[in-house]
Amino acid sequence: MYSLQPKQKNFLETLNPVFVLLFFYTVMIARTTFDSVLPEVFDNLDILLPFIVYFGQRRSVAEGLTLAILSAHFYSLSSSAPVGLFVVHYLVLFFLARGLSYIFYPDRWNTICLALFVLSVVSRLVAWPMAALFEHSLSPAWGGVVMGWFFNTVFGYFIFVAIAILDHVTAKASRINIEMSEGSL
Amino acid sequence: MPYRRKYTFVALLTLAICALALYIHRHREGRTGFIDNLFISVTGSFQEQSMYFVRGARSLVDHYFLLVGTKQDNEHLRRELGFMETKLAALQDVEAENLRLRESLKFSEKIDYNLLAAHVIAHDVSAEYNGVRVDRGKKHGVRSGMGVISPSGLVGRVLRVTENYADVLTIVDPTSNIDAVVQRSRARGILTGLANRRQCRLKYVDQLEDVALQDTVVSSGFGHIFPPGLLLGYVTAVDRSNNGVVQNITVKSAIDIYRLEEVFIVFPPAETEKLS
Repeated sequence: MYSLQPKQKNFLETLNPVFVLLFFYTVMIARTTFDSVLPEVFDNLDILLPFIVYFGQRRSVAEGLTLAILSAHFYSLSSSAPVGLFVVHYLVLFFLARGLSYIFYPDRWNTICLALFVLSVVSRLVAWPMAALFEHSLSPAWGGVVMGWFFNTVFGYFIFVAIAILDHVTAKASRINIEMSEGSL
Repeated sequence: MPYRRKYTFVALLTLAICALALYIHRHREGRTGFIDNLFISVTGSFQEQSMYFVRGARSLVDHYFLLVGTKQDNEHLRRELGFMETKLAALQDVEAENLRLRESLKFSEKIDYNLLAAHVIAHDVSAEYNGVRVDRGKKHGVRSGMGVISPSGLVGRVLRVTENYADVLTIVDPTSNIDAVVQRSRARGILTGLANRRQCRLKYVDQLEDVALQDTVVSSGFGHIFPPGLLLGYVTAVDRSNNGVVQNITVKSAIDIYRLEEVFIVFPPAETEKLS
Protein backbone atom coordinates (compact mmCIF):
# COMPACT_ATOMS: atom_id res chain seq x y z
CA MET A 1 0.00 0.00 0.00
CA TYR A 2 2.73 2.42 0.90
CA SER A 3 4.29 2.14 -2.53
CA LEU A 4 1.17 3.69 -4.11
CA GLN A 5 1.33 7.19 -5.50
CA PRO A 6 -0.87 9.87 -3.85
CA LYS A 7 -3.09 9.97 -6.96
CA GLN A 8 -3.59 6.21 -6.82
CA LYS A 9 -4.38 6.41 -3.11
CA ASN A 10 -6.94 9.15 -3.80
CA PHE A 11 -8.52 7.06 -6.52
CA LEU A 12 -8.76 4.05 -4.20
CA GLU A 13 -10.20 6.23 -1.45
CA THR A 14 -12.84 7.53 -3.87
CA LEU A 15 -13.84 3.97 -4.65
CA ASN A 16 -14.01 2.98 -0.98
CA PRO A 17 -17.81 3.52 -0.60
CA VAL A 18 -18.39 1.23 -3.59
CA PHE A 19 -16.19 -1.48 -2.05
CA VAL A 20 -17.98 -1.11 1.29
CA LEU A 21 -21.39 -1.44 -0.39
CA LEU A 22 -20.18 -4.47 -2.36
CA PHE A 23 -18.94 -6.04 0.86
CA PHE A 24 -22.34 -5.40 2.47
CA TYR A 25 -24.05 -6.89 -0.58
CA THR A 26 -21.93 -10.07 -0.34
CA VAL A 27 -22.66 -10.45 3.38
CA MET A 28 -26.37 -9.91 2.65
CA ILE A 29 -26.49 -12.64 0.00
CA ALA A 30 -24.63 -15.01 2.33
CA ARG A 31 -27.07 -14.20 5.15
CA THR A 32 -30.17 -14.85 3.01
CA THR A 33 -28.97 -18.19 1.63
CA PHE A 34 -26.82 -19.72 4.37
CA ASP A 35 -29.36 -19.16 7.15
CA SER A 36 -31.17 -22.42 6.35
CA VAL A 37 -28.00 -24.27 7.44
CA LEU A 38 -27.97 -22.84 10.97
CA PRO A 39 -31.29 -21.03 11.42
CA GLU A 40 -30.93 -20.80 15.22
CA VAL A 41 -27.82 -18.64 14.77
CA PHE A 42 -28.64 -16.71 11.62
CA ASP A 43 -32.27 -16.04 12.52
CA ASN A 44 -31.15 -13.68 15.29
CA LEU A 45 -28.38 -11.99 13.36
CA ASP A 46 -28.63 -8.39 12.19
CA ILE A 47 -25.93 -7.99 9.53
CA LEU A 48 -26.61 -4.32 8.84
CA LEU A 49 -26.02 -3.22 12.42
CA PRO A 50 -22.16 -3.37 12.38
CA PHE A 51 -22.15 -1.45 9.08
CA ILE A 52 -24.36 1.27 10.53
CA VAL A 53 -22.28 1.44 13.71
CA TYR A 54 -19.16 1.76 11.56
CA PHE A 55 -20.68 4.46 9.34
CA GLY A 56 -21.83 6.36 12.42
CA GLN A 57 -18.46 6.11 14.12
CA ARG A 58 -15.92 6.43 11.35
CA ARG A 59 -17.48 8.36 8.49
CA SER A 60 -18.41 12.00 7.97
CA VAL A 61 -22.14 12.73 8.42
CA ALA A 62 -22.75 13.19 4.68
CA GLU A 63 -20.91 10.05 3.59
CA GLY A 64 -22.19 7.99 6.51
CA LEU A 65 -25.80 9.06 5.88
CA THR A 66 -25.57 8.24 2.17
CA LEU A 67 -24.10 4.82 2.87
CA ALA A 68 -26.61 4.14 5.66
CA ILE A 69 -29.62 5.09 3.49
CA LEU A 70 -28.42 3.07 0.49
CA SER A 71 -27.58 -0.04 2.50
CA ALA A 72 -30.85 0.19 4.47
CA HIS A 73 -32.81 0.45 1.21
CA PHE A 74 -31.02 -2.60 -0.26
CA TYR A 75 -31.72 -4.38 3.02
CA SER A 76 -35.43 -3.48 2.71
CA LEU A 77 -35.58 -4.98 -0.78
CA SER A 78 -34.41 -8.32 0.60
CA SER A 79 -36.99 -8.37 3.36
CA SER A 80 -40.74 -8.66 3.65
CA ALA A 81 -40.88 -5.71 6.04
CA PRO A 82 -42.60 -2.59 4.67
CA VAL A 83 -40.11 -0.56 2.62
CA GLY A 84 -39.12 2.50 4.61
CA LEU A 85 -39.18 0.79 7.98
CA PHE A 86 -35.51 -0.17 7.91
CA VAL A 87 -34.45 3.17 6.46
CA VAL A 88 -36.06 5.00 9.39
CA HIS A 89 -34.84 2.38 11.89
CA TYR A 90 -31.22 2.47 10.77
CA LEU A 91 -31.16 6.25 10.43
CA VAL A 92 -32.05 6.43 14.11
CA LEU A 93 -29.27 3.93 14.88
CA PHE A 94 -26.83 5.87 12.71
CA PHE A 95 -27.36 9.05 14.73
CA LEU A 96 -27.19 7.10 18.00
CA ALA A 97 -23.89 5.53 16.88
CA ARG A 98 -22.69 8.99 15.97
CA GLY A 99 -23.65 10.29 19.39
CA LEU A 100 -21.95 7.34 21.06
CA SER A 101 -18.69 8.18 19.30
CA TYR A 102 -18.51 11.40 21.33
CA ILE A 103 -18.69 9.34 24.53
CA PHE A 104 -16.14 6.70 23.57
CA TYR A 105 -14.37 5.83 20.34
CA PRO A 106 -14.25 2.07 19.64
CA ASP A 107 -10.75 1.22 18.50
CA ARG A 108 -9.98 -1.96 20.48
CA TRP A 109 -11.81 -5.27 20.55
CA ASN A 110 -13.49 -4.58 23.89
CA THR A 111 -14.74 -1.10 22.99
CA ILE A 112 -15.91 -2.29 19.54
CA CYS A 113 -17.85 -5.15 21.19
CA LEU A 114 -19.29 -2.75 23.78
CA ALA A 115 -20.49 -0.34 21.07
CA LEU A 116 -22.04 -3.21 19.09
CA PHE A 117 -23.71 -4.65 22.17
CA VAL A 118 -25.14 -1.30 23.28
CA LEU A 119 -26.50 -0.53 19.82
CA SER A 120 -27.85 -4.06 19.43
CA VAL A 121 -29.88 -3.58 22.63
CA VAL A 122 -31.01 -0.13 21.50
CA SER A 123 -31.87 -1.54 18.06
CA ARG A 124 -34.40 -3.91 19.62
CA LEU A 125 -35.88 -1.10 21.68
CA VAL A 126 -36.21 1.00 18.52
CA ALA A 127 -37.71 -1.92 16.54
CA TRP A 128 -40.89 -2.16 18.63
CA PRO A 129 -42.13 1.43 18.25
CA MET A 130 -40.96 1.36 14.62
CA ALA A 131 -43.11 -1.71 13.93
CA ALA A 132 -46.06 0.05 15.58
CA LEU A 133 -45.42 3.06 13.34
CA PHE A 134 -45.78 0.74 10.32
CA GLU A 135 -49.00 -0.80 11.72
CA HIS A 136 -47.93 -4.18 13.05
CA SER A 137 -46.35 -5.54 16.20
CA LEU A 138 -43.26 -7.54 17.08
CA SER A 139 -43.49 -10.17 19.76
CA PRO A 140 -41.06 -9.71 22.65
CA ALA A 141 -39.59 -13.22 22.37
CA TRP A 142 -36.81 -12.68 24.91
CA GLY A 143 -34.89 -15.89 24.16
CA GLY A 144 -34.31 -14.84 20.58
CA VAL A 145 -33.62 -11.25 21.57
CA VAL A 146 -30.86 -12.15 24.04
CA MET A 147 -29.32 -14.61 21.58
CA GLY A 148 -29.51 -11.83 18.99
CA TRP A 149 -27.53 -9.45 21.20
CA PHE A 150 -24.84 -12.09 21.66
CA PHE A 151 -24.57 -13.02 17.96
CA ASN A 152 -24.74 -9.39 16.83
CA THR A 153 -21.83 -8.56 19.11
CA VAL A 154 -19.67 -11.53 18.06
CA PHE A 155 -20.41 -11.55 14.30
CA GLY A 156 -20.63 -7.77 14.27
CA TYR A 157 -17.09 -7.55 15.62
CA PHE A 158 -15.75 -9.57 12.68
CA ILE A 159 -17.70 -7.47 10.16
CA PHE A 160 -16.52 -4.25 11.86
CA VAL A 161 -12.89 -5.41 11.68
CA ALA A 162 -13.36 -6.48 8.04
CA ILE A 163 -14.59 -2.96 7.10
CA ALA A 164 -11.65 -1.45 8.99
CA ILE A 165 -9.29 -3.67 6.95
CA LEU A 166 -11.11 -2.63 3.77
CA ASP A 167 -10.57 1.02 4.76
CA HIS A 168 -6.91 0.34 5.35
CA VAL A 169 -6.50 -1.42 1.99
CA THR A 170 -8.25 1.40 0.14
CA ALA A 171 -6.25 4.06 2.00
CA LYS A 172 -9.39 5.53 3.53
CA ALA A 173 -8.72 7.94 6.37
CA SER A 174 -11.25 7.34 9.12
CA ARG A 175 -13.20 10.20 10.69
CA ILE A 176 -11.27 10.30 13.95
CA ASN A 177 -8.01 11.08 12.10
CA ILE A 178 -9.61 13.82 10.03
CA GLU A 179 -11.17 15.45 13.07
CA MET A 180 -7.94 15.24 15.06
CA SER A 181 -5.99 16.81 12.24
CA GLU A 182 -8.54 19.62 12.07
CA GLY A 183 -8.27 20.05 15.80
CA SER A 184 -12.00 19.67 16.34
CA LEU A 185 -11.75 16.97 19.01
CA MET B 1 -25.97 34.38 11.04
CA PRO B 2 -26.92 31.79 13.70
CA TYR B 3 -30.61 32.45 12.85
CA ARG B 4 -29.93 31.83 9.17
CA ARG B 5 -28.17 28.56 10.01
CA LYS B 6 -31.06 27.56 12.24
CA TYR B 7 -33.58 28.23 9.48
CA THR B 8 -31.44 26.36 6.95
CA PHE B 9 -31.30 23.39 9.32
CA VAL B 10 -35.09 23.44 9.86
CA ALA B 11 -35.68 23.72 6.09
CA LEU B 12 -33.32 20.82 5.36
CA LEU B 13 -34.90 18.71 8.11
CA THR B 14 -38.39 19.39 6.72
CA LEU B 15 -37.22 18.50 3.23
CA ALA B 16 -35.64 15.27 4.50
CA ILE B 17 -38.82 14.27 6.34
CA CYS B 18 -40.93 15.00 3.23
CA ALA B 19 -38.52 13.00 1.06
CA LEU B 20 -38.72 10.09 3.50
CA ALA B 21 -42.52 10.22 3.58
CA LEU B 22 -42.62 10.30 -0.24
CA TYR B 23 -40.20 7.37 -0.41
CA ILE B 24 -42.35 5.30 1.98
CA HIS B 25 -45.53 6.26 0.10
CA ARG B 26 -44.04 5.25 -3.28
CA HIS B 27 -43.04 1.82 -1.97
CA ARG B 28 -46.21 0.95 -0.05
CA GLU B 29 -47.81 -2.48 -0.58
CA GLY B 30 -44.69 -3.92 -2.18
CA ARG B 31 -44.51 -1.45 -5.08
CA THR B 32 -41.08 -1.22 -6.66
CA GLY B 33 -39.48 0.98 -9.29
CA PHE B 34 -37.13 0.17 -12.16
CA ILE B 35 -33.92 0.36 -10.08
CA ASP B 36 -35.48 -1.71 -7.28
CA ASN B 37 -36.54 -4.38 -9.78
CA LEU B 38 -33.06 -4.40 -11.30
CA PHE B 39 -31.54 -4.77 -7.85
CA ILE B 40 -33.90 -7.64 -6.96
CA SER B 41 -33.21 -9.38 -10.29
CA VAL B 42 -29.43 -9.20 -9.88
CA THR B 43 -29.60 -10.19 -6.21
CA GLY B 44 -32.05 -13.00 -7.03
CA SER B 45 -29.70 -14.56 -9.57
CA PHE B 46 -26.81 -14.52 -7.06
CA GLN B 47 -29.07 -15.91 -4.35
CA GLU B 48 -30.28 -18.64 -6.70
CA GLN B 49 -26.71 -19.79 -7.37
CA SER B 50 -25.74 -19.47 -3.74
CA MET B 51 -28.79 -21.43 -2.59
CA TYR B 52 -28.06 -24.25 -5.06
CA PHE B 53 -24.53 -24.40 -3.69
CA VAL B 54 -25.78 -24.46 -0.08
CA ARG B 55 -28.37 -27.15 -0.85
CA GLY B 56 -25.82 -29.21 -2.77
CA ALA B 57 -23.29 -29.02 0.04
CA ARG B 58 -25.91 -29.80 2.67
CA SER B 59 -27.32 -32.66 0.66
CA LEU B 60 -23.83 -34.10 0.16
CA VAL B 61 -23.07 -33.99 3.88
CA ASP B 62 -26.51 -35.28 4.89
CA HIS B 63 -26.85 -38.07 2.38
CA TYR B 64 -23.34 -39.39 1.89
CA PHE B 65 -21.25 -38.54 4.92
CA LEU B 66 -23.65 -38.63 7.83
CA LEU B 67 -26.48 -41.07 7.18
CA VAL B 68 -26.26 -43.14 4.06
CA GLY B 69 -29.81 -44.19 3.11
CA THR B 70 -31.55 -43.51 6.42
CA LYS B 71 -31.84 -39.80 5.85
CA GLN B 72 -33.41 -40.27 2.42
CA ASP B 73 -35.97 -42.74 3.78
CA ASN B 74 -36.78 -40.42 6.62
CA GLU B 75 -37.19 -37.48 4.27
CA HIS B 76 -39.43 -39.49 1.99
CA LEU B 77 -41.60 -40.60 4.90
CA ARG B 78 -41.74 -37.08 6.33
CA ARG B 79 -42.84 -35.72 2.97
CA GLU B 80 -45.45 -38.42 2.66
CA LEU B 81 -46.65 -37.70 6.20
CA GLY B 82 -46.88 -34.01 5.35
CA PHE B 83 -48.96 -34.83 2.27
CA MET B 84 -51.20 -37.12 4.31
CA GLU B 85 -51.68 -34.57 7.09
CA THR B 86 -52.66 -31.91 4.59
CA LYS B 87 -54.95 -34.33 2.82
CA LEU B 88 -56.52 -35.43 6.09
CA ALA B 89 -57.04 -31.83 7.21
CA ALA B 90 -58.59 -31.01 3.85
CA LEU B 91 -60.84 -34.11 3.98
CA GLN B 92 -61.97 -33.32 7.52
CA ASP B 93 -62.80 -29.85 6.37
CA VAL B 94 -64.71 -31.23 3.39
CA GLU B 95 -66.58 -33.59 5.72
CA ALA B 96 -67.54 -30.76 8.05
CA GLU B 97 -68.50 -28.61 5.10
CA ASN B 98 -70.62 -31.40 3.63
CA LEU B 99 -72.48 -31.80 6.88
CA ARG B 100 -73.22 -28.10 7.03
CA LEU B 101 -74.28 -28.04 3.41
CA ARG B 102 -76.52 -31.05 3.82
CA GLU B 103 -78.20 -29.31 6.70
CA SER B 104 -78.87 -26.18 4.78
CA LEU B 105 -79.38 -27.93 1.43
CA LYS B 106 -77.20 -25.40 -0.28
CA PHE B 107 -74.11 -26.25 -2.28
CA SER B 108 -71.33 -23.80 -2.92
CA GLU B 109 -69.84 -23.51 -6.35
CA LYS B 110 -66.69 -25.59 -6.79
CA ILE B 111 -63.66 -23.40 -7.50
CA ASP B 112 -60.68 -24.75 -9.41
CA TYR B 113 -57.19 -23.43 -8.72
CA ASN B 114 -54.16 -23.75 -10.94
CA LEU B 115 -50.77 -24.30 -9.28
CA LEU B 116 -47.30 -23.22 -10.39
CA ALA B 117 -44.26 -24.90 -8.81
CA ALA B 118 -41.42 -22.66 -7.59
CA HIS B 119 -38.14 -23.05 -5.69
CA VAL B 120 -37.29 -21.08 -2.58
CA ILE B 121 -34.00 -19.32 -3.36
CA ALA B 122 -33.53 -17.03 -0.35
CA HIS B 123 -34.82 -16.18 3.08
CA ASP B 124 -35.47 -12.83 4.70
CA VAL B 125 -32.35 -10.82 5.50
CA SER B 126 -33.71 -9.40 8.76
CA ALA B 127 -34.08 -11.05 12.14
CA GLU B 128 -37.66 -9.91 12.77
CA TYR B 129 -39.37 -10.64 9.46
CA ASN B 130 -39.86 -13.97 7.71
CA GLY B 131 -40.31 -13.63 3.98
CA VAL B 132 -38.91 -15.94 1.31
CA ARG B 133 -37.92 -15.30 -2.31
CA VAL B 134 -38.96 -17.73 -5.08
CA ASP B 135 -37.69 -18.18 -8.63
CA ARG B 136 -40.94 -17.30 -10.41
CA GLY B 137 -41.98 -13.82 -11.49
CA LYS B 138 -44.11 -11.72 -13.81
CA LYS B 139 -43.02 -13.60 -16.90
CA HIS B 140 -44.48 -16.80 -15.38
CA GLY B 141 -47.78 -15.05 -14.72
CA VAL B 142 -47.22 -14.40 -11.02
CA ARG B 143 -48.99 -11.36 -9.60
CA SER B 144 -48.86 -9.61 -6.26
CA GLY B 145 -51.37 -11.02 -3.76
CA MET B 146 -51.45 -14.60 -5.10
CA GLY B 147 -51.46 -17.40 -2.51
CA VAL B 148 -48.48 -19.71 -1.97
CA ILE B 149 -48.83 -23.25 -0.59
CA SER B 150 -46.63 -26.28 0.04
CA PRO B 151 -47.28 -29.97 0.74
CA SER B 152 -46.98 -29.17 4.48
CA GLY B 153 -49.61 -26.43 4.39
CA LEU B 154 -50.19 -22.83 3.54
CA VAL B 155 -47.01 -20.73 3.10
CA GLY B 156 -48.29 -17.19 2.53
CA ARG B 157 -48.98 -14.77 -0.29
CA VAL B 158 -46.94 -12.99 -2.94
CA LEU B 159 -45.86 -9.56 -1.72
CA ARG B 160 -43.61 -8.19 -4.47
CA VAL B 161 -42.99 -9.40 -8.01
CA THR B 162 -40.23 -8.66 -10.50
CA GLU B 163 -39.68 -10.19 -13.94
CA ASN B 164 -38.08 -13.42 -12.68
CA TYR B 165 -38.55 -13.45 -8.93
CA ALA B 166 -41.25 -12.98 -6.35
CA ASP B 167 -41.07 -12.20 -2.62
CA VAL B 168 -43.50 -14.15 -0.48
CA LEU B 169 -44.91 -12.90 2.81
CA THR B 170 -45.11 -16.08 4.92
CA ILE B 171 -47.74 -16.81 7.55
CA VAL B 172 -45.12 -16.51 10.33
CA ASP B 173 -44.26 -12.94 9.33
CA PRO B 174 -45.56 -10.30 11.77
CA THR B 175 -47.04 -8.23 8.92
CA SER B 176 -49.06 -11.19 7.58
CA ASN B 177 -52.78 -11.50 8.35
CA ILE B 178 -54.76 -14.51 7.12
CA ASP B 179 -58.40 -15.34 7.63
CA ALA B 180 -58.46 -18.69 9.48
CA VAL B 181 -60.91 -21.07 11.13
CA VAL B 182 -60.50 -23.69 13.83
CA GLN B 183 -61.46 -26.86 11.99
CA ARG B 184 -63.38 -28.54 14.82
CA SER B 185 -65.50 -25.68 16.13
CA ARG B 186 -65.40 -23.33 13.08
CA ALA B 187 -64.25 -20.50 15.36
CA ARG B 188 -62.96 -17.78 13.09
CA GLY B 189 -60.01 -15.42 13.56
CA ILE B 190 -57.06 -13.75 11.92
CA LEU B 191 -53.75 -15.62 11.95
CA THR B 192 -50.70 -13.40 12.27
CA GLY B 193 -46.99 -14.19 12.67
CA LEU B 194 -44.96 -13.56 15.80
CA ALA B 195 -41.55 -12.86 14.21
CA ASN B 196 -40.62 -16.35 15.22
CA ARG B 197 -39.66 -19.33 13.10
CA ARG B 198 -42.85 -21.30 13.74
CA GLN B 199 -45.16 -19.39 16.06
CA CYS B 200 -48.30 -17.48 15.13
CA ARG B 201 -51.19 -15.91 16.98
CA LEU B 202 -54.88 -16.38 16.21
CA LYS B 203 -56.41 -12.98 16.87
CA TYR B 204 -59.96 -11.73 17.41
CA VAL B 205 -61.43 -15.07 18.58
CA ASP B 206 -64.28 -14.41 21.00
CA GLN B 207 -63.92 -15.61 24.63
CA LEU B 208 -67.05 -17.75 24.18
CA GLU B 209 -65.69 -19.66 21.16
CA ASP B 210 -64.67 -23.28 21.67
CA VAL B 211 -60.91 -23.61 21.04
CA ALA B 212 -58.80 -26.38 22.61
CA LEU B 213 -55.15 -27.46 22.56
CA GLN B 214 -54.08 -29.40 19.45
CA ASP B 215 -57.03 -28.07 17.44
CA THR B 216 -56.24 -27.80 13.76
CA VAL B 217 -56.33 -24.31 12.22
CA VAL B 218 -57.09 -24.12 8.49
CA SER B 219 -57.62 -21.42 5.88
CA SER B 220 -61.16 -20.14 5.53
CA GLY B 221 -60.91 -19.58 1.77
CA PHE B 222 -62.37 -16.11 2.22
CA GLY B 223 -61.35 -13.85 -0.66
CA HIS B 224 -60.45 -16.77 -2.94
CA ILE B 225 -56.71 -16.18 -2.48
CA PHE B 226 -56.19 -19.68 -1.10
CA PRO B 227 -58.36 -22.79 -1.37
CA PRO B 228 -60.34 -23.34 1.86
CA GLY B 229 -59.26 -26.03 4.33
CA LEU B 230 -55.50 -25.68 3.85
CA LEU B 231 -53.51 -26.58 6.93
CA LEU B 232 -52.13 -23.54 8.78
CA GLY B 233 -51.08 -25.03 12.11
CA TYR B 234 -52.05 -26.45 15.48
CA VAL B 235 -53.19 -24.67 18.62
CA THR B 236 -50.44 -24.84 21.26
CA ALA B 237 -51.78 -22.46 23.90
CA VAL B 238 -55.13 -20.94 24.78
CA ASP B 239 -55.34 -18.15 27.34
CA ARG B 240 -58.76 -16.96 28.49
CA SER B 241 -57.50 -15.43 31.73
CA ASN B 242 -57.49 -11.81 30.55
CA ASN B 243 -60.46 -9.55 31.08
CA GLY B 244 -60.89 -8.71 27.42
CA VAL B 245 -63.44 -10.01 24.97
CA VAL B 246 -61.01 -12.17 22.98
CA GLN B 247 -58.81 -15.17 23.73
CA ASN B 248 -55.02 -15.28 23.39
CA ILE B 249 -54.40 -18.25 21.10
CA THR B 250 -50.92 -19.37 20.05
CA VAL B 251 -50.60 -21.55 16.97
CA LYS B 252 -47.59 -23.57 15.84
CA SER B 253 -47.39 -23.20 12.08
CA ALA B 254 -47.44 -26.36 9.96
CA ILE B 255 -44.62 -25.08 7.78
CA ASP B 256 -41.03 -24.53 8.80
CA ILE B 257 -39.78 -21.80 6.47
CA TYR B 258 -36.18 -22.97 6.80
CA ARG B 259 -37.14 -26.43 5.53
CA LEU B 260 -39.11 -25.14 2.55
CA GLU B 261 -37.56 -25.99 -0.79
CA GLU B 262 -40.45 -26.21 -3.25
CA VAL B 263 -43.71 -24.28 -3.05
CA PHE B 264 -46.74 -23.81 -5.30
CA ILE B 265 -48.15 -20.46 -6.34
CA VAL B 266 -51.95 -20.53 -6.45
CA PHE B 267 -53.58 -18.92 -9.46
CA PRO B 268 -57.07 -17.72 -8.56
CA PRO B 269 -59.95 -18.92 -10.79
CA ALA B 270 -59.97 -15.72 -12.91
CA GLU B 271 -56.22 -16.00 -13.58
CA THR B 272 -56.59 -19.72 -14.35
CA GLU B 273 -59.16 -18.88 -17.03
CA LYS B 274 -56.83 -16.25 -18.51
CA LEU B 275 -53.93 -18.73 -18.58
CA SER B 276 -55.99 -21.46 -20.22
